[in-house]
Amino acid sequence: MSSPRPVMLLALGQSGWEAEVIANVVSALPDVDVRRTVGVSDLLAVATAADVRAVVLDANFPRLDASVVAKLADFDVAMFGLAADASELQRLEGLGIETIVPVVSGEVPEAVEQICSHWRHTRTQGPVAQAAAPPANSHLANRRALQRAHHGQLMAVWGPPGAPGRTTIAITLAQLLAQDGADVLLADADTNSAGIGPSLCLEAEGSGLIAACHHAERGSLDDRTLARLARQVDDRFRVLTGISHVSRRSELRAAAMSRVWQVAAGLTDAVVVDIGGCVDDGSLALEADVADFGINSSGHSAAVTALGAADELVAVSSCEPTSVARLLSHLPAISSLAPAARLHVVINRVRAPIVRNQGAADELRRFVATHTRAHEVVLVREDRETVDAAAARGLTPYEHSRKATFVREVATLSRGLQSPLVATA
Amino acid sequence: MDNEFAPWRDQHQHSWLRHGQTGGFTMNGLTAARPQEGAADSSNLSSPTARRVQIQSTWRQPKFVVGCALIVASVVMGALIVGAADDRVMVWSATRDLAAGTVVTSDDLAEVAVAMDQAGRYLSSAQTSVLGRRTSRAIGKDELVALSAVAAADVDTRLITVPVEPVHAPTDLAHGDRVDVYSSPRDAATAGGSSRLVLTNVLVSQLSTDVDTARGELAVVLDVRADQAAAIVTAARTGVLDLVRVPVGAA
Repeated sequence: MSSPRPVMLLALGQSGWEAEVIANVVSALPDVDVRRTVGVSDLLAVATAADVRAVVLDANFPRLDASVVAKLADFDVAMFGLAADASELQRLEGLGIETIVPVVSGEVPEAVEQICSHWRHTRTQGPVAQAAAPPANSHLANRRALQRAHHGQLMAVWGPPGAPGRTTIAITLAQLLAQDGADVLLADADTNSAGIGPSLCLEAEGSGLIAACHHAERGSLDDRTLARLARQVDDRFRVLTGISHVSRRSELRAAAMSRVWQVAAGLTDAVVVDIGGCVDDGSLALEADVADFGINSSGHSAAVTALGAADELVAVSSCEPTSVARLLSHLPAISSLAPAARLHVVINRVRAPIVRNQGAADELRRFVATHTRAHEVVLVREDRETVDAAAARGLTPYEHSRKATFVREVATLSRGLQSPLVATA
Repeated sequence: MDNEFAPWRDQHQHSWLRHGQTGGFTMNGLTAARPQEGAADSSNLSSPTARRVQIQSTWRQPKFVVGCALIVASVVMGALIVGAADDRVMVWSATRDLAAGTVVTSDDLAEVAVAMDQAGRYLSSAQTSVLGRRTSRAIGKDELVALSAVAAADVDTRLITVPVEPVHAPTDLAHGDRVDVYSSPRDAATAGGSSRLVLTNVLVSQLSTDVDTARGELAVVLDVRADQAAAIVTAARTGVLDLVRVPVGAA
């Protein structure tokens, strides 16, 4: 490392014009330390160690995926994609690369010239201002603007360990939102015990969530693909089924899951995400992070990314003191993962003695509101009969009876969550 | 779409970069369908329909429906078969022993349903005109009443009450019995004549010991044809009568 020259990495696959690109870049940028990498590990190792300013990523680079791109973005590295055809272009877009240059054999010098102009622009403006760079693909910018214009609300439904009725609340909430006119996607991100498929009596078809995540990893996830992987239960209500086995949760990587939530929010008005009880953002697994550059999943990536993207956080607790205590002990950690979210606390299964005693109900509400600083606290009365009868018929409580106590009380929550939906509509 | 791709196309005069009619993106003959932005595309973004296991309610299960249909069908068929077989008619039966000549009252008859081809021989319970008629022969308790056992309203008969000394009649004479009537001169010695047969096979219609006759005679009501009445009256006036029972079954 004798030279302080900035480093540009070339991550190229077997394309035929590989050598031509290298030769052209080296001759075009004499004051840059141009290095070639041969694999993802090599790429990340160099990016971690050296003062890498830019990476030229070929769509054919082996094992290039969304996690690698996300990690490079973390290092504040400018990325220039090389696409040989439309599908490669689409793929690089899906991986999250913003600047893409078309290249074919015979016209390599032109492509390299473009890369160099991007590079020079990055050097003067810095990578942060890259989005404003003049040659950036304007159709991509348009598309992002459109996606921003249609940004569905992401509602994370979480509950402390101990089966507080979170999944039932999530399903009912999703159906009530759909009833009120929103296009709703219910995603099962409970990586311990995915319960939405069984609750809806869906035939086992493999996990929509894992399929979507793999597409995102490969850069091939768009709204159409996500729509194909989801299952339409009702006119405006679809589900993305969760993982069937705990061992598969390591396949859900953070970068790809972030992309899944982003596409989901672009596809529908409301994304309801069911999140399991124990969520750990992996900060304890530092050693593992170092070993694989932090791109492998801690097992909670789906939940952590959903919380990170959440506009609304619904925390569901049972009304027993133990459950409320669990809620209070876990909630700060969860809330810190969802900094942008409004907090709604649901105290589920409130039984008759408390419901009848207005003083007790008010005290419970006040206690929870004080300790959680929730935007709202909703008490949902115990309605075992409805939930059981619905389960016996293989229906959701909402499908069983829209007038049931349980459904009417969850509607309170749904109204509280809908106000921003209505405002944007 | 043109505007979106225009900067690219202008900048790079690549022969493969074309805009298809559909807004697609053609490269080397390969067309990659790109999702079109905007509301026009939203109709294509629905998901495949979820396949849900149907838990049918007990009422809607085919087994239940078929079972119900079987039960209904067998009930209907059974009713039709039994109804067809149960070709019964209502006839009268006697509620007590009716001797021949008894005047039939409603208390004497009860309706019974019988299945038989020749019910026409019996007295249908629809025929109430039988009330007030007399039986032409004895009918046992619970026997069906045949048409022939109830005399047609025979206007040509007369009831004549004759005195008979108790010892000149069968000791257990009862109404309904049939008797031969003999007449003997009141004073057999003076008349010197012998007894003669006045009428044969006469029906005893009624028998009363209550009738107070000075000589302690029975008052026997005989049922005779009108043209025989005179002979009986003459015999009773001119002599004493003997009643000789005709055994049942005798001509």
